[in-house]
Amino acid sequence: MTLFRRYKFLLVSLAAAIAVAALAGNSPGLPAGALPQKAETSMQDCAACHEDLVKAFAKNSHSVLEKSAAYKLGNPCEPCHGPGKAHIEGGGDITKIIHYKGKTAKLHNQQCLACHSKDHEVSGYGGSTHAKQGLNCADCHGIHTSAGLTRSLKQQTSTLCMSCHTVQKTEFSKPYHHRVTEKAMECTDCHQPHSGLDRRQVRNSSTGEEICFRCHKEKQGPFVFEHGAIRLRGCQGCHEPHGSNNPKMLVRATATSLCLECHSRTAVWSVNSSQPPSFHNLNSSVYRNCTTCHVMIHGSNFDGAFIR
Amino acid sequence: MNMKVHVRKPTSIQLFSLGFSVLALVLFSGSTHPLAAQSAPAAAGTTAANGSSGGSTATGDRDKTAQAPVSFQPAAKETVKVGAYEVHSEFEVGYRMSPGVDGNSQMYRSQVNLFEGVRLLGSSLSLRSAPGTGLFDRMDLSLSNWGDPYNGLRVRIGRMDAYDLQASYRNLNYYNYISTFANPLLEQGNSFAQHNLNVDYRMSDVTLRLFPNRKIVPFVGYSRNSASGPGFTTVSSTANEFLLETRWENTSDEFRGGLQFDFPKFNLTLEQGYRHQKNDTSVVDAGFPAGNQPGRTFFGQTITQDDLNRSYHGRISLPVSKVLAKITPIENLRMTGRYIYTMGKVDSDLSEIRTGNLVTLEDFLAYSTAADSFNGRAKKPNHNGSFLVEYSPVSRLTVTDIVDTIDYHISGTAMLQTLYTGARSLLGPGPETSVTVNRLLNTEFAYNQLRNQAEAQLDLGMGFAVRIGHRYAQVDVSSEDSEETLSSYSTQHTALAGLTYRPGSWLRVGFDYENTSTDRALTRTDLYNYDRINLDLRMGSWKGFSLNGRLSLRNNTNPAPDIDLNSHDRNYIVGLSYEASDRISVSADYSRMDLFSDLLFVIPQNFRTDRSIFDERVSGFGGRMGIGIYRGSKVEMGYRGIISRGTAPIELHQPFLSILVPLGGGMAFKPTWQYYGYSDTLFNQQNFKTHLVTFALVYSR
Repeated sequence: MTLFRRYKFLLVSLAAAIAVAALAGNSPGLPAGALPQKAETSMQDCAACHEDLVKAFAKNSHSVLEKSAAYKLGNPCEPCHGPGKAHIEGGGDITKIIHYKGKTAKLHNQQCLACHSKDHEVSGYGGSTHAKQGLNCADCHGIHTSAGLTRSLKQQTSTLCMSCHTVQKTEFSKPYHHRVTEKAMECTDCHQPHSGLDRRQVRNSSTGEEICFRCHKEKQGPFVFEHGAIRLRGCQGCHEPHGSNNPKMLVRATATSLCLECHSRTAVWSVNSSQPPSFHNLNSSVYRNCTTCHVMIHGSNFDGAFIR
Repeated sequence: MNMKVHVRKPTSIQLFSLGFSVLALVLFSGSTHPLAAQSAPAAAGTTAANGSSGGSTATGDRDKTAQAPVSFQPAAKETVKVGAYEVHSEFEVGYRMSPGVDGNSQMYRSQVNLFEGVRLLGSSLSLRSAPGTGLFDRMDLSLSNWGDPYNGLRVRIGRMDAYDLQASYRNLNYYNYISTFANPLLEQGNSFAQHNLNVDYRMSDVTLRLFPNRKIVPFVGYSRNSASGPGFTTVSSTANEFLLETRWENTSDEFRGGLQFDFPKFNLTLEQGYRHQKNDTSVVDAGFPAGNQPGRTFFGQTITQDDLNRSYHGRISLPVSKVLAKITPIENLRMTGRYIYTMGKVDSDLSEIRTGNLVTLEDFLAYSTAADSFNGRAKKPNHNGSFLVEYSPVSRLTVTDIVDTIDYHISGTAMLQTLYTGARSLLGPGPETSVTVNRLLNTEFAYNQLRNQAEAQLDLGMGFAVRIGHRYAQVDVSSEDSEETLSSYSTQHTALAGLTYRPGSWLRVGFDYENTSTDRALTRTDLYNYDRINLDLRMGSWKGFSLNGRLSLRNNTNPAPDIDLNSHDRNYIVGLSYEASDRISVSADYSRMDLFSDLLFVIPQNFRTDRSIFDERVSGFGGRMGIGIYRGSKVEMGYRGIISRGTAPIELHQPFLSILVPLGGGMAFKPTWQYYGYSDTLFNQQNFKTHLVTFALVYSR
């Protein structure tokens, strides 16, 4: 109830907005950039030459353009390929229709984004690494056909990603890895393939911080005593996100080297510039295993040395 | 000592999903399905659908053969209708057998964690009807590995003109029992892992969008995460460490709602969320009063611990406000911006009672009982903003600029009270007394990051495009506690260049170069002055052949005399696949990944410097072959291996063999054999090997 009282204004506003949206006359339809709904040709006209494509199209998500009363397209081929009348009358003249063979990725993408840029998953695709590498939408999505997969993908999500991202494929084969190849996770759980806002197309957690905290929430904090390494280097300062030969997906095989590479007294600001006191005798196995004592290494609310 | 095995009971959602899948299997299995039409091209279809054309490896193969349903050439299927719905479904149910693990079964559980039993290895169900009709006009459901310690469920259901509901559920058992990790007794032959966990992570998320094709789209969402389970940890009491049993109980509930406005040149999303998080941990003494160092004395005291009880409770509240805006004022100009504000607050307490013959160096006391009553509070206002501009002044030129900032400040206070009884000074004999120690600790941490990346891409024609740019990054950070105040900043400049060549969909070549210089390192292992080169090649199918390759090099140096860091990261990868015919497909890949790091560090006990060298040379290789035999029967075999040399040499071998025998009616019988063999050269007590045999029924229509 306390929660409700605190956020009742928001909840009431939300309920009102839902009601307004339900009742509003804001009719659905094709977004800006798409072609008019009236067509001088029909899909059957296209099928005369492109029978296979038209057949396959019936099972593709884009068939909604033909089937849905919301769009009522006379010819669902035309939003992407332009008016087809001149092309048909010209005996299939390829210059009289929009086609994509040999065209730049930018042209491909512009055509798709005319409708899909409003999708909340598509945020500034032009600034993304994928766009800069010359990938177009059809590299991953079956525009006419798909393998019965959601979002008209050409393959199952992670398989599709790893067909290009071969380094990550090997990393996921290492002994300690996130369960992506086992299909308990997908690449897109952490990565946003359409985003130009996120560096390396890595998603944020719901709170705008590292995506790791989406699942590993207990390590997010805030803590009274923060481990500076997490704040300065991120989780990847110590962990390999895809897979590692080292336990806990660490970047080093032993805790000693992992910790002491930062925790050595230097002129660098470093992680509180801390140098282990001299009783940390590395000849003793206790002190070669730092987390034997420093168990709360991700942050503590009571102890600056992360012991409790 | 054996770790307590946490028995995993199926949750209601697991039972519901399993029941749903079985029901669907029974419901739809009555229809006849022309398997003959599927089986002939099955080899090619399955291969294509699983990525071998892009140089598939056994990583993917392992998924496919062991855990995922085999795809029966969906494109060639006839449409199956049930009522108003077109249905596509795949199910794979089987029984997995294992003769047991030869070697270290705890390592097997920490890495593979697959055991005997009935499993719903994978399933998918897709229903479509005429858009805007019925209760729903689309539904997609997929399940994986039900019955195994890591499984997932994803559902999307909706009616185009009314709603779009997406939900997911994941259950990941994190079993971590590694003798070599943080085990100070390993060299004495004690392979008990003192820091281990058997925690179940359960993550669920649901989002409902109403009227998804309208101009105003309300949405609500809810996420729940939980992590619970037992484990072992240690507590350090000056000069000795004691084993503790621990139990995690963490939950997080997150509510969110908002509105999305879609107008021709303007999209705006407003979202408000709230998270409530509970972290509860209980810790008790594991019953080894002598500790890791029996007989260890400190100031003449033999350190023992008779009992310990600790209870930790943390409560976090975290409101989240988000705005996402996309504006296209003119055709060749797009602007996208996002802002997120959060205010995280934690309120935590810890109470602990420990008894024994203990000492504290901090308070310079020997004592028989200590009672801790701690309270810690912190808050963290966090601003996170990103803004992207894409502008094409002419059709061949695109300029992008992205600015992002992170700005947060953490302030914390810890109030610690400890009551020692039976206490006396470490300096010598004296009367035992009670001592109360109170401490008040305040901390501040502030972080501010600004990054700007500007790039221009020019299309040269003939499939060539070049790109140049510059990235600037600046970080200001400060830390303050009762002992010291530290602050620093770092600025980094990066030159960017790239070239892509894409004459058609059959070939893509990409080259990228980055050169970065940094004026100050914030941590000793930062990327400081580095060069990075990436070369990618992807050649599409030509007479059944496809090829991809990648060369990735990065050299990083920090010449500061007290760091002297030299590191490199070099990856060379090539993958080939060949589909000789509808019946035969082959793929193979090889990757070489070298990671090397060399820097100075200070040896704590004598403050002398030495070099910390990490050298990992990984060869990863895999291959698979699919052969269509007779009337749709198919054999798939493959192998995936990792051989690592250097600082921590290990080997992991994973061959598999699978046979698919169509039974008619869309059903097929699929026995699969898998082998896992892991060996650790330095710690061969970690080695394990095992065979898994799964007999599965696959249904597809």
